[in-house]
Amino acid sequence: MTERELLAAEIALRLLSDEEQALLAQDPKLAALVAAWEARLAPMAEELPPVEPSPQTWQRIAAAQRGAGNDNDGGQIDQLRTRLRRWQMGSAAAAAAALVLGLFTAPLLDRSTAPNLAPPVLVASLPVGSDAGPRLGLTYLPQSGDLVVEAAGVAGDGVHDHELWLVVPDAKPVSMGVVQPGRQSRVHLSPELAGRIDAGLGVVLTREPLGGAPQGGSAGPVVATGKFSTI
Amino acid sequence: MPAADSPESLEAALARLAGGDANGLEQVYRLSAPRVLAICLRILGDRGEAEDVVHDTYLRLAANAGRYNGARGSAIGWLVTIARNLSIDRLRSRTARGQAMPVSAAEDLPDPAPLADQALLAGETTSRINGCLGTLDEVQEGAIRSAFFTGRTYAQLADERGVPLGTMKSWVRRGLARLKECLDQ
Repeated sequence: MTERELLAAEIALRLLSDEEQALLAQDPKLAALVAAWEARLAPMAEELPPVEPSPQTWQRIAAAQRGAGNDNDGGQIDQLRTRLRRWQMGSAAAAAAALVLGLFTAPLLDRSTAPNLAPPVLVASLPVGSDAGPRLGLTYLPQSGDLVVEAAGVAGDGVHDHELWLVVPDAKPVSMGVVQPGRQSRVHLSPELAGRIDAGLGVVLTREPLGGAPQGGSAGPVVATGKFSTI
Repeated sequence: MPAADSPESLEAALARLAGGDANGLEQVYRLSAPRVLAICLRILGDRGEAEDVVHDTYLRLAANAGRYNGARGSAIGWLVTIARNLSIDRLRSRTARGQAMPVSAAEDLPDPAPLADQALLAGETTSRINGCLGTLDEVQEGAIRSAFFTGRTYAQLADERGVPLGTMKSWVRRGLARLKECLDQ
């Protein structure tokens, strides 16, 4: 068995950490191998005795389905249109829009053929101190709605904390909390906030007194800025 | 087992759903939800959370029914995969948020070993994968079963068994290679 096939099996079994897995999941050729392994392994679950769900579970599904209407792909297409519109506004070359739509649609639909129907993972990297110094790594995992903050190379000075903020358009910056120097942490985003995260969204790092910006007070000086992008 | 549980029937309902028949989802649900809940419950060990994931699984399915590829595997396998992935996502975000893992009866249960009559009932595919798993070394089989039924990572499996990470990786990788060889025969 090839190394790639082994890797596909490991991804299918979910043996890797979410971060390793998110990086690999961007490879569409690997996705097909993963889907094949998922299909191979799935029959293992048939040995579990079936469990009848409570009647409320179906009622909730039916209610949500009625709410969504019959145009089930509408949400995804709307998202795509929004992305395209943003791109058009930021570019003079609107004539290339048709081409871009083609480029965007193909990988989106390709990836969706696997059961992992994930929107793209977003990453951002912010310098801490000098540009050549350690960097704060951010990975947004759309499937779980978690933002992973990797501050392994970052040391605290014992006097200040650094606080991370998402710069949401037409709203106040949203605090992601104080960065834990030397550690990896996770912030689970509310569905409303998760819905607003997209490539190009800005992030800033501010210097604050220990414990972070005072509640209701203003944030400290901005020490680094960055933007989310797809991998 | 009643005829309604046969894969053909579930696949037909899925095709109706993909074709825009609003009643298709209910039919798919009736035919598959108890199996979907079983895997969610096994991974999450919490009934309320498991039913939440069942809910998410069928809503996701409703939006993507047309993407089922029958050439790749059975419809129930596809649903189980979606539900298993969503359950593991939830499990990991729960752990990441620092919530205590519920001490559930399921956590303490050994990973199910197939009973002969269940394997027979579930059909040829199950007995095949179980037959092949049975050809592996005990540690290899145990690690693969544990990964499948608990959603643990390499690091967690190694911790649990008290073996180095590299040892756990080589058990699983050798097991997977042999499993594929056996399934391809």
